[in-house]
Order: sequence, then C-alpha cells, then structure tokens
Amino acid sequence: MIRLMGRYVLVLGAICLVAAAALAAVFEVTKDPIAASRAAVERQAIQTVLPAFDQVGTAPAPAATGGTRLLALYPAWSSGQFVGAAVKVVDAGGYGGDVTIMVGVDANLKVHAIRLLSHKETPGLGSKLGEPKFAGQFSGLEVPAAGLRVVKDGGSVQAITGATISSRCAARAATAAVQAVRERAAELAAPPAVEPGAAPAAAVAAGQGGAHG
Amino acid sequence: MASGVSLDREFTKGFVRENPLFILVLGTCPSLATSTTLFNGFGMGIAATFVLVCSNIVISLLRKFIPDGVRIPAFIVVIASFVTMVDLLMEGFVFSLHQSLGVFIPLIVVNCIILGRAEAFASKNGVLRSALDGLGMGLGFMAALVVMGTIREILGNGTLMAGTPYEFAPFGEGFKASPVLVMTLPPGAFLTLGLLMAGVKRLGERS
Amino acid sequence: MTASSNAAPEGAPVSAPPPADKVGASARPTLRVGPSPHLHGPETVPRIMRWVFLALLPAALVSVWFFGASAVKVLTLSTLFCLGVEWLCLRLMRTPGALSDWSAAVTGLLLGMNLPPTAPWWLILAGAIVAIVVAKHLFGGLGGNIFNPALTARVFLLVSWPTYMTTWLKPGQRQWLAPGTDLAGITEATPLGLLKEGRLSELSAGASDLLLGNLGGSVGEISALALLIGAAALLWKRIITWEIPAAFIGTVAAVTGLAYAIGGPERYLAPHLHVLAGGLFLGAFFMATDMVTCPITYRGRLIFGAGCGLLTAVIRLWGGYPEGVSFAILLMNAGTPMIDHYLRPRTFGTATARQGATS
Repeated sequence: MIRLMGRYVLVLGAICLVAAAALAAVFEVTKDPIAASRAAVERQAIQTVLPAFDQVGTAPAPAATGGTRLLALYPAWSSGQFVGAAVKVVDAGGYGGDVTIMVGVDANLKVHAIRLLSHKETPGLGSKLGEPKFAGQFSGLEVPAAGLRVVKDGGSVQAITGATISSRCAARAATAAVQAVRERAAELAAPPAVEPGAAPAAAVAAGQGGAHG
Repeated sequence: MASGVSLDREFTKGFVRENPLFILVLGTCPSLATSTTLFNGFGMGIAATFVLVCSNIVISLLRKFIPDGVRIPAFIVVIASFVTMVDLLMEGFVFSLHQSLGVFIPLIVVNCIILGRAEAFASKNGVLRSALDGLGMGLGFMAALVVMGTIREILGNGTLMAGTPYEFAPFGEGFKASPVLVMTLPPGAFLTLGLLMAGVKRLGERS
Repeated sequence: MTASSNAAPEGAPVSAPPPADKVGASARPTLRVGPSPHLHGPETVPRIMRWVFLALLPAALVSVWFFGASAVKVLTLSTLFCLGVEWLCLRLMRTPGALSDWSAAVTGLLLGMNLPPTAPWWLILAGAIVAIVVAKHLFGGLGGNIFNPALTARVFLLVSWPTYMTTWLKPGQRQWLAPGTDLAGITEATPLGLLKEGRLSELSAGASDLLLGNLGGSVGEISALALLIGAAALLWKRIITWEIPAAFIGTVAAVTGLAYAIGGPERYLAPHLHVLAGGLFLGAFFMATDMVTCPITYRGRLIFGAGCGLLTAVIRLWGGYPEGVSFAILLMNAGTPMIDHYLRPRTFGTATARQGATS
C-alpha cells in the first residue's frame, strides 16, 4: 500500500515537474508578444479617438461621478503640443449593466470621437452604440454645462431607435470625459519630461489593470 | 486492443462515422459558444486539435508508466499544460482571435472530447494510433465547428470570413444590415446544432 | 393552438377514481368496458380549429379598426404565408396534417396577431417559415410539436429583428404605409416599454384604453375586451378550460401587485394595468392553452399556468425585454412533458405503494 502510494506521488510529481518546466518555457517565449499585443490594442483604441499624436502618457483618473466611473486617462501630445486626451469610461446605467467607452477629448475640450470597448446591451438594439451612425455624431460635439443629453431628454444627441437607455450611456460617458479633461487642462498641457518613445509603452501597460473588465 | 482496425480507419472515423460533435455529442459547450463565425470555429477547432493530438501522444507514451489509480489527475495535468500553452501562444501570436474566443480557450481543459479520447483511446493504444485518432477526432470537431460557424455567420451576421481580410457579404449589403440576429446568439447555436445532428442522423440511416 | 389526436378531447367523460382510502377496503370497484362501437365525441380537429379561428376574430377586427390597412396587411399576409408554407411542407415532408384541418390558418392568424402593425412582408414570411417548418413539421407535424408554433416564430423574430418587432403604430393611423415610409411621429411606446425604460410618468393610456385597445401594441393584443369575448366563446364550447388562464393571469396580478405594494407607484405599474397590458390575455387564453403543448391534468395545468405567470412577471419587472408572455409560455412548453410525467393520474383500480403497505 505504502509503496503504491509512493509510486502515485512519484509519477504525478514527475509529470507536474515536466509540465511546469514546459509551461515556464512557453511563458518566457510568449511574454513579450502578449504584452506588446495588449499594449497595441489599448493604443489603437486611443489612436482612433484622438487626433494624430506622437507621445502619450497617463494621468490619474478622477473619482466617480454618479454611475459613471473613469478607468484611465491618457493625455496625448504632438511635438510637445497637447492635442487631447483619451478617457476610458465605464457607465453602469446600461440596459444590461456596464458599458465601457473610450472617449477622445481634443485640446479645445470638444469630443473628438468615441469608441465602444465592451458592453452587454441587447444585440441589435443597444449594441448599435458602436456603429458609426450613432457614434459618429459625437465627433466635434461641444459639451454644454448641463452635459450631453439625448433628444428625448431635451438634448441634441440622436438616440438609437429603441435603445434610449444605451444611448444615454454614451452621452453620460462623453460628458464625464470632457469634464475630467476640463478640470485638469492646465496640468495636461505640457508633456512629462521623459524621452519620447519610452512613455507610450509604459503608460499603456500601466493602464492595463482595468482593460479587461 | 483495437489492433484489427486499419490505421486509415482510425484516422477517418472522427470525420463522420464517430464525429465527436454530431454523433458522440461531446464538447457541445465550446461548440455552441464559439461557432459564431467561420473564423472563430476554425480557430477553436485548430486549438482543440493541437491539444488533442499532443495530449493523445503524451498519454499514449506514458500509458504504461501511469498507475491506474491516478490516471485521471495525470491526464488532466497533461491536458491542462497543453491548453495553457495554446492559450499563451494564441494570445501572443493571434491576439484578435484569442480575444474573440475569450474564456473558451482555457476551457478546452474540460472539453469532454479531449479527456474522453485520452481515457477511451490513448491510454489503451500505441503512439501512432493515438496520434491518428487525435488528429481525426480533432479535424472532425473542427469540420463540425466550421460548418456551424459558416451557417451561423451567413445567416446571423450576413457575412462570411469575418475576422479575416477576405470578408464578404454573400447575400448582399441589404441582408447584412438586418440579418437573422438570433443565429449568432445562443438560441441560434442550439437550433443549428440540433438541425445538423438531425441531418447527420438522417444521412446515417439512409446509407 | 393546434390540437392533436393524443390530447384528450375536452368534452370526453372522465370517470372520477373512487376515493383512495376505499380502494381495496370494502367496496370492490368494477370497471365495465362494453364492446365496440364506443360513443364517439363530436370533437374533430377542424371543428376545434374553426372555433379558435372565429374566437380570434373580434380582437383582429378591433385592430383593423385602430390600425386600418396595416393590420389588414399583416393578418392577411401572415395567414396566407402560413397556409402556403404548410402546403409545401405537407407535400415535401409528408408529415401528418392537411390544409383543411385549419391548424395552419390558426397559426397564421395568431402569428399575425403577435406582430406589430408595421411588420414588413419579409418579416412575416420569415415568421411563417419558422412557425410551420421549424416549430411544427420538423417536430413531426400536427400534434407533434413541443413548442407553440406561432410563439416560436414571434420569439425568433423578436430576438433577430428587435427594431422591426418593437415599432408600434399609434392607434388611429389607418392609412396604407408604403415600404420605406418614415414612421417617426406616428409610432409610440407601449405601456410595458415605458415601464422598462423608466418613463412611467409619460404613460397616458388608462385602463379603459387597455380594455378597448386604444394604444400601440401587437396587432392582436391591444383590446383586452375583444380577446375576452373570444375567450368566453372557447370556454363555453369547452375548447379551452379555465385552469391555465386563471392561474396565469392570477399569478401575474399577484406578483406585480406585490412589487407595486412594496416598490411604490413611481417604479412599478399597477397590477390591473399589468394584467390588461401587453400580450397577457392573448397568450393566456389562446396560446398557453394550446392542446398539444400544455399538460393534460387539471393540477398540471394549474402549475403550468402559475409558472407562465411567474416567469412573465419576473421578465416584465426585472428582465431584459419589456414583455415576457411569449418567453414564459415557451419555457413552460418545454416543462410540459415533465409536469405530465410527475402528475400522471393513478391508474384506475390501483393503489399507491404506501397505501398498499398499510392495508
């Protein structure tokens, strides 16, 4: 009996050891490509919502306002000139829960573009948040003092037919993003004193924590 | 055991006669979840085939070495290691596919096909036979996923080959604007699988 | 609303089993079975189906009054498409049934009544194909289906084309709507839609509007009164029995009433409006009672109805869709074989195992 148990332990232990070694090897090989891919995806989302830039940093995201949380704030500069900031916003007021949107705010504090990152809205209705027909109307919008609102609530944003609730999420997210950038416009104006090239990767990697919510 | 069966039969049995999805009805969970498009189905099929072939080979090699009492934990360790490797490799080198398959790559560990073939075949047969069995079963699984993915993508998304540079709309842009959305959702997955199983059974009865 | 040969005709005499405690004690029951021919009931599938079709007409006529050309178009196309697809299926698949049994006509009319008046022709055709081919003939044709065909089609369409399936015409818009007409301004949200979007304050329709049908909604669901008239005819003819509608509507009223009492009128709709709104009457009287897809015992039907009511209320109050009647009935359709299995009546003349042990 004892001998049999000993054999079990020995065999399983040996298999685990070999498996662990093999996994460690694969992990080493894939570590860098994975980090690069993750950073590229985040960076691509930033790029689609902002004007052209050559340097991007990260700034601490302000606290929540109502049901809208800011996950990350990426200010961007072109030749040292502040061109805008991408703000990753989660709005909890969606039809199916959280809606994550990347909002680009340009240097004039207008919305540059928005991009839907993740959602659980009704397919075919709320899921149209990401389509150009809806998302496109935000480009160049100025956010009034009362915040962006859909037409039904007395605002100017054309809601998706049958998905007013989802449309409100986008309006709230854009409002929150613009307000956050407005609050810290002064401190974002100048790029941090690091050599260009190192900043983007580091900044984007730092923003990864909230990326896969 | 099973040595009377010719090697090519060992390889081809998984395609139709013992198709893991349509006949053995194994691995239905990942099939339903990932067959939303042709490309996703193909990617899942490749990943599962890789794990199946590798784990069948290793388990067949170790079959005399692993005592019966701990064979299931030993199989699971082997399978889980290969799945983790696939997970890491896919995230590193085909990132967008990895994103759309999501949690279902790690879940290959609990795909019944893999443990089923390890227990029912690889632990009782030689390396060559086990490798052929794994390859055949894996390709059969992949074929099933590709068929399901094709049907669901054309009807539910109005496209074909989405996720690749060769995407096109087989029924035109008008249909693509308002496709049969339910086909890409879970009910459409069950509907497609049920109809295909009925069809395969009907074919089997005729021949 | 298809009838089957294996579902017991409603009018058939059911001999009540003697009280359980008497069995095997003193009175020895005798079961007399005479030689054939046995008494033949007048019920036939076409006769039942014709009655159901007639009973649906009052509600259909109300919708023609409020929605004019659109309602006529939806109801006619839906019935014709279903008959056409049925004809093809009967010829190609050789499943049991006949056009003259009226079942496809009833399915077609019910499907039309479950669609919004703005439904385009291709949506109706897709619904007819799903109802007749997938839900009915692939399961073996008349009497073999697990799920109600018209409802299966409705849910399929609702999930696939939610925008088209939730564009509700305002009552009184009777004109012909050419394809591509801009519908903005002549559509409105249903009371349940307002509830789901948190816009209850905008609700203008009262109980009398819901009774008469003076509000937006599916073609056949708007007038509770007209549906009740048709239901009364079916109850009188014993084509449907009271258990399922009573348990269904009662449970919806109870659950939504509880939510209303606890949550308050700002967030919840009053229970009497819940009962009158949406497709509850259409579903409870005409679709949950489908002879093929509901349980055959009285207790089973009460459980079935209560289950439908609970699911409907839960979906309406907390679910992702504003209306849950069709989902609820389909889910309970799936549970019907299980209900029938566990509530199988004891075979006449036998005792249960426990009683046998004590005697």
